[in-house]
Amino acid sequence: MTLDEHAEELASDLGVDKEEVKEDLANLVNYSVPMDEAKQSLRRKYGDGSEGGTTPSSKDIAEISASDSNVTVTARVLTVGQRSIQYQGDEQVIFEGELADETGTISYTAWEDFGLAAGDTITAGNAGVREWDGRPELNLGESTSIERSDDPLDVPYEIGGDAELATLAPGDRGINVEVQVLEVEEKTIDGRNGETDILSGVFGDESTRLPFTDWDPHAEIEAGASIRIEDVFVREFRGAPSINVSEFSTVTPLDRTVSATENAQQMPIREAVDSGGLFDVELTGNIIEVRDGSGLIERCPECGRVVQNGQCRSHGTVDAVDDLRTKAILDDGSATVTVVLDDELTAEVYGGDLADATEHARDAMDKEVVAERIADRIVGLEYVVRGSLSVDEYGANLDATSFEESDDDPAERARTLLAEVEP
Amino acid sequence: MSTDEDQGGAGRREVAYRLFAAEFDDADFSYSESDEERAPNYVVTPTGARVNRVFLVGVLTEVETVSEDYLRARVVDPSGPFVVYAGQYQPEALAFLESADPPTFVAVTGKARTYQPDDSDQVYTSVRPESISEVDAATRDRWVVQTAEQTIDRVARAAEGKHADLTGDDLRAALVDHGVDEGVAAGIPIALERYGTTGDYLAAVRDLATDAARVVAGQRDEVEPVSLRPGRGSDDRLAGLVERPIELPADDEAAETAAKDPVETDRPDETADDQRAGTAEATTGQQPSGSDAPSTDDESAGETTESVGDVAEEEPSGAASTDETVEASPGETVEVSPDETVDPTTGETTEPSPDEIDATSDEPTDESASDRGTATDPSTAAETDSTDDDLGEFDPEFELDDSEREEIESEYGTEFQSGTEVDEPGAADIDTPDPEAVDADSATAADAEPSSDADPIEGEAEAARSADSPDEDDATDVDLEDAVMDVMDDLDDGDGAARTAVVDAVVDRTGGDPDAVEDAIQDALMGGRCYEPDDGLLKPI
Repeated sequence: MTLDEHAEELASDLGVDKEEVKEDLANLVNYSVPMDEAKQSLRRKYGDGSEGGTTPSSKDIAEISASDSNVTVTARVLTVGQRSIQYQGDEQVIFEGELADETGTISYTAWEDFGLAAGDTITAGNAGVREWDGRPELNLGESTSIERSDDPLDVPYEIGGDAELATLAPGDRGINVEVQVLEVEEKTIDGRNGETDILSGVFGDESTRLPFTDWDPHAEIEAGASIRIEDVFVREFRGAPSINVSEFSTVTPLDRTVSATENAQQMPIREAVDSGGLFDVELTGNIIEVRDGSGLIERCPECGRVVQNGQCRSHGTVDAVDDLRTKAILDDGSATVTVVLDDELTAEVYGGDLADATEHARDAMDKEVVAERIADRIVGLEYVVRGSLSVDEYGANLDATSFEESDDDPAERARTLLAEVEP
Repeated sequence: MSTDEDQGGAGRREVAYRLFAAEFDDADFSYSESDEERAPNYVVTPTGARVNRVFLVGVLTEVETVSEDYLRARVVDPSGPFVVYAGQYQPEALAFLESADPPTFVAVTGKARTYQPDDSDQVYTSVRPESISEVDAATRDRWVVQTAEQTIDRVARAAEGKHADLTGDDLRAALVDHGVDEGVAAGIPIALERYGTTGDYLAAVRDLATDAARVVAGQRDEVEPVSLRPGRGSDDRLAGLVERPIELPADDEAAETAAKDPVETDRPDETADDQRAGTAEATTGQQPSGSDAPSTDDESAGETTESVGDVAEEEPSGAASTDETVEASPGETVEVSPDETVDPTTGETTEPSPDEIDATSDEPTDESASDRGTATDPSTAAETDSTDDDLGEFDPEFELDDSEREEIESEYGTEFQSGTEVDEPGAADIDTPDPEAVDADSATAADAEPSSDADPIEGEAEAARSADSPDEDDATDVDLEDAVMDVMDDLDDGDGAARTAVVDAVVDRTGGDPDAVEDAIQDALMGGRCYEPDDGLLKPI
């Protein structure tokens, strides 16, 4: 950049006469003041922004780093979501979503109502930068100026929050979905403001199914209904994405039926684990180990946790209750998950119910015989397992809703592979 | 190398690789990413699979006794045999194999190992089973298809990696960016460097995989063996194997880091290069040229196995099938006699076992938790005399003199109230240890020849310790913990071992302070090596 260009940029940023700026800039540069320092000095002199200290420079979104304190960006608003949060004891309504320019996207939080709408092209002057989850985010607050442009900025991203359920991830905001309500129930919870009624259940669309919570029950959300909901946000619930419907969401009945998929998403285990959690997924692999804590186990009658020697971590010595459970390693060569089978599925693979297992253990005078028989029956074989996958510090766990041995024709599978690799 | 991802946090379990026996047999390089005792050991195959754990399904064709409590099994897939060794530390696998009735379909999950006989350039691979179970033909067929798919995929990634003309960490990073999983991304640069894997070899492995799928599909009767060593042949077919070329970011950082080769610095086995060179030479001399490979199109399925075997036998230093050389005693040339029966005496005295080699010279293994420490490992494998075995489980610092031995022997029957204060008033009331265990122990103590037999063990323990950490205290703790586990093992009669009895026995054996022993028990409990099945009882895991 030449001195002239620097001056031009400064002048337009500061809204002052270019020649004047250029003269000052040339003067500073003659004293060998570095260009960046010289420009900041002039910004201070001409009073850009209300805060002292460093003043923001215009940046492309891809250039913004968490070490920037303030920036000015020109961007297209991709999504806007409204949410009510508790901030320093007060209820505050904030607006969140994503901005994009040609270089990338960035999340933002607006602490004031700037009236942003998806598709707007704006220049946000003096936006704060903070780091969230290792990535920079923009804070638009009272010291931020928002200018709209009628000339839409072309960005290589989808504008608006319309999304299929399968693409959603925790942290997504300002999302619009079209779904069928598969399950819904009313619940009363002890919330922040005393007892609150909420709805919870499961939505489905063509791509997958996801659980939801409606914090401000909408009458349109009823079992079987096909609806469009605008402005939902996505949070993690038990390791998988969950849709949150709020007072700011609008729910509109659709005059078409959204066909909710019956099938779970299928993918390699590695991809599923990398996704960070999935509500409904189908994984195929070999059971290569039955882990400790399988078979005949004891649970705390209070909290349901597995207890050892009648000692519950929370409730001390308890009169433990027998139960059946299986924890098995499923491995498809790409990654592994721990499959957790509940009492019913465990009874199926064990080939007997709790009473049988208890008798079996008593006869053998060893509880392990139950787990051993389960291992004998499933280790080595290939299974198709459907369930809810959570990935956290305890590893990747798939809470199984179904657990079936593969029964497809291997020859057919071989032909499919050959067709793919030898066109 | 960043290893956080693959050996760090909870839940990151080593994935079980699918690969064909022929490729596994061609592997001769293993390494560990750090000197830490628990760092996983990897076998890197010529296509870049970096294998810690392997899952295979095939036909169990033979089970042979190597020595008492030590079995060797062959599990055959369409490309050849995997060799599986099970010893006393794989009790379930051992029990399975002892009662197995070949031929039968089995699934094996286990750890990949390499083994090099003392006076040989040849490196053999084997599998140490974590589990073996009987399965059906359909499961085997599914495994073949799955393995074919993953092998074809890996070959493509390796070809892309080689085509990209990068090495070391740059290649690894480029592969990760390319979407290749961590293990293979780490393995391909190593494979290309160690084996000089050629396009011809990759193509041959790919052909092997598609042939195997064709066998399952009913379009072919057998698989044509890979007749090429990984580094032989040309790269003419390389470009044809590339599915998605790696796009290189045009930056200058590459040049900067190009010199750094993590493989170079992390290599634990300095002599591996030479050995490999030797192998390659020998191979060159006897290598049938690619075109000589038997054409198997018109052969029956029965003959396939033959031809695999034939190739192996013509190439003693090359693709010789794994089991034969293991039988060869140090100094002997490789014997190719498939029907050779194991002479029990020879087996005892001269047979080196993979585990022994691993434990003493290879690396600090990652299995010490389950195997009760490297120091105790070798004795199990190499020795057949059970008393010697037990000796190996003693704390290495514990040397008995004759009078002590006598004392213990006589004291064992009377709850061994020895010189050390055993102040548990309940000690006499507790469940007495299983008499058999006690007998075995006292016999051990009496029969042991501490001066001769204990020394090598101590030496190995020394090595393990120095490899482990410079912190002496730590090492001592671990030793005590090992002793605790050994005693617990001995005293466990199925329901667990009485805690007080364990303390007493360890105190007696090691002369340690009862409090320190209690601490060691606590450590073992915390470390997940044992648990309390009931009040006052301990059971090894």
